[in-house]
Amino acid sequence: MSLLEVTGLTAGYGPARVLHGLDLRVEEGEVVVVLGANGAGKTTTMRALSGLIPHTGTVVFDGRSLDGLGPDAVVGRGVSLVPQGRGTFSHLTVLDNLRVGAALRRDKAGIREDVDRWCSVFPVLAERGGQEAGTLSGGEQQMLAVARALMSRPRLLLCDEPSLGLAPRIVSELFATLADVNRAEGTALLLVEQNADLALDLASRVYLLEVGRVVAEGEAARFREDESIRRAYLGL
Amino acid sequence: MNSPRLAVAQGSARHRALQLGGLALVALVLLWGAAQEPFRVGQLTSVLIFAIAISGLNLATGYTGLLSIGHSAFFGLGAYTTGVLVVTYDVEPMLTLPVATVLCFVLGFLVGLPALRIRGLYLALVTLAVGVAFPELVRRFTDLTGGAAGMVIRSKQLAPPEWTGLSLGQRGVWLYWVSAVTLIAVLLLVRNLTRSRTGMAMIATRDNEAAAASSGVHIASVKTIVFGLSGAITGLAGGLFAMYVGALSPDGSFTLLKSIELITGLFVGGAATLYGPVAGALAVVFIPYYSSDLASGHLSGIIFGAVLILIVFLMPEGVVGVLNRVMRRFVRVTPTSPAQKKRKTR
Repeated sequence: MSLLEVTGLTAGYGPARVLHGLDLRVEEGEVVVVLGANGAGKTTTMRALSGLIPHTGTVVFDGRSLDGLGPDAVVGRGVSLVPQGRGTFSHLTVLDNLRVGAALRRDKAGIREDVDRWCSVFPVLAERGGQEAGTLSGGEQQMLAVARALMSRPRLLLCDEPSLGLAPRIVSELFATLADVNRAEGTALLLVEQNADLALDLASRVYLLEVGRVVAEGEAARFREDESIRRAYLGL
Repeated sequence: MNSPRLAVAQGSARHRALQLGGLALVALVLLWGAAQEPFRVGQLTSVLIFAIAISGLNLATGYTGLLSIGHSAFFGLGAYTTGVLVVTYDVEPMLTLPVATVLCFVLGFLVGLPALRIRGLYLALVTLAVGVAFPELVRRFTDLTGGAAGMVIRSKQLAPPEWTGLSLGQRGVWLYWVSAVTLIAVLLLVRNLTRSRTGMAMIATRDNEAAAASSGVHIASVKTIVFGLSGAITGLAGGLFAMYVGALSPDGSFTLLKSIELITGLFVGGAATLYGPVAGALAVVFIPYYSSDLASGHLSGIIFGAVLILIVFLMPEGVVGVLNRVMRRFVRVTPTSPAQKKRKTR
C-alpha cells in the first residue's frame, strides 16, 4: 500500500470548487511533483491535504484516513506542510520558529537534538539563531520554513512552491537540500511547482494538473525527455 | 550590525547584578511613590491598576493579535464582582479578587469562542457588542448592582488589615501596595507565559495562523485560553479598581471609553512588550492630567489627542518598543543556547 493515497479529492473555497476529483499517490520515501499553471489547484491541493481547508473524497495516509482532521491532527499523523510564501513567524527568533515546528512533541531532548541537527544542515539558521525571522532574506526564510516543517519528524513533507520568488542559485541550493533530506531521512516529498525543470530533476514521478484535474501522470524521466509532452504541457 | 557597548551573557554574574540593580530601582521607585501626598499616591495607584488591566489586554491583542474592544466589560465585571460581594455579602475585599478573576476567565473563554471562526475586525465587532452590553446589563439587574444609581463601598470595609499598622485614613497606601504587588505578580506571569511554549504558540498564531496550525499548534485552545487569561487579568484590575474608587456606576468607568483607553495605553506603551502596559498606563493617567493643566475643557482633550497622535507617529512600536531598540544598541544579553551549554560542559 502507498504511503499516501488520494481518491476523488474535491475542495474549494465556499461555493467555488477548485479541485474536481483528484487522484494521486505517494510511495514511502518517494519524491513526487505536481506541476501546473497558475490556478490549476496546486495550492488548494496542499491546503486540503494538510487539513487547512475541508475536502470530500478520501485521503488515506499510512493506512489511516485523514478525512475530517484539522491541521494540527494531520501534523500529528506525520504529514507536514511548508506553506507557500514561507509563512515563518516573523516576530519569533529563528530558533523559536523551529521549536514551534515541534509543537506536538513532548521529548525535550529530542527537540533540542533536532534543532541542532537542522541548524547544521542549514548553517544560516545557526548563524541567525537569535534573530527575529522577519529579518531574514527570502531564501533564508524558505530554509527556515523547511526546517520548521521537518521539526515534527514527518514521514511526508508537503512543499507548496518552495522556489517562489527565490534567486535561481538559492533555488538549486534548496532543492539539493531537499534531495539530501529525502535520501538521509527517507522523508517522502510531495511538491507542487511551476519551476518544472528543477522539480523534474528531483522527482521520480509527476502529476500534471489542469483546472483541478490530473491530466497526465508518469515517470519524471519521461516528462524530462519527451519533447511532445514538454511542448504540450510544460511550455518548454 | 553595530556591536553593543556592553555584551552580557545570560545567567552570568554581571547579568545577575544588572537584574538585581533593576529590582532595587523598582523597589526604590515604589517606596518613593508610597511616600508622596495622598492625592499622588491615589494617582499612582490608578497607574498600577491600569497597568494590570492593559497587561491583560496585551495577552489577547498584543501577543495573540486578537483585537478586543470589549475589555471594559471584563474591567467592569471584575469591579462589580468585588463591589457586590463586599457591599451585599460583606466579604473581605481581598478575598473577592480571586472570585473576580475566575468569573472573568469564564467570560473571556466564552468571548474567545467566536474567535475560532471569525477574525480581525469581525472579531472586534463581537467584543464591541460585549462591551456595549455590559453597562446595559448592570442597569437591568438593579437588585444585584444598584442599577443606574450605582453602589457605594463603605470606606470602613476597605480598612487595611491590622498587621500593616496602617490606619483607616491610610487605606490609599494599603491599596497602593496591594496594586503594586499584584502588578509585579501579573508581569511575572506574563513574562513566563510569553516565554513558554504557549507564548510561542500565541505569537506564531498572530504572525501566521495557517502556518501555526500546520506546525501542530491547536489554534482553538490557544485563542480561547488566551482570551480567558486576558479577561481574568483585566477583571482582576477591575476588582482593585472597585476598591480604589469605592463607588461603582454603569456609566462611570465601564463603558466603551474605558476599552478605548486600554487600547490606547497598549499601543502607546508598546503592544506585545512586557513593560509596554506600564508605560501606557502612565500615559493614559498623566497626559490628560497635565493637558488639563495647560488648558481647560475641550482644549485639554484635544491636547491629549494630539500628544497621542504624535507618540503613535514617532514611535509606532510604542514607547517601550523604542526603548528596547535603543537598549539593544548599548546592552546585549547573549543567550546561552542549549548547544553552547553542551559545549561548555564537555
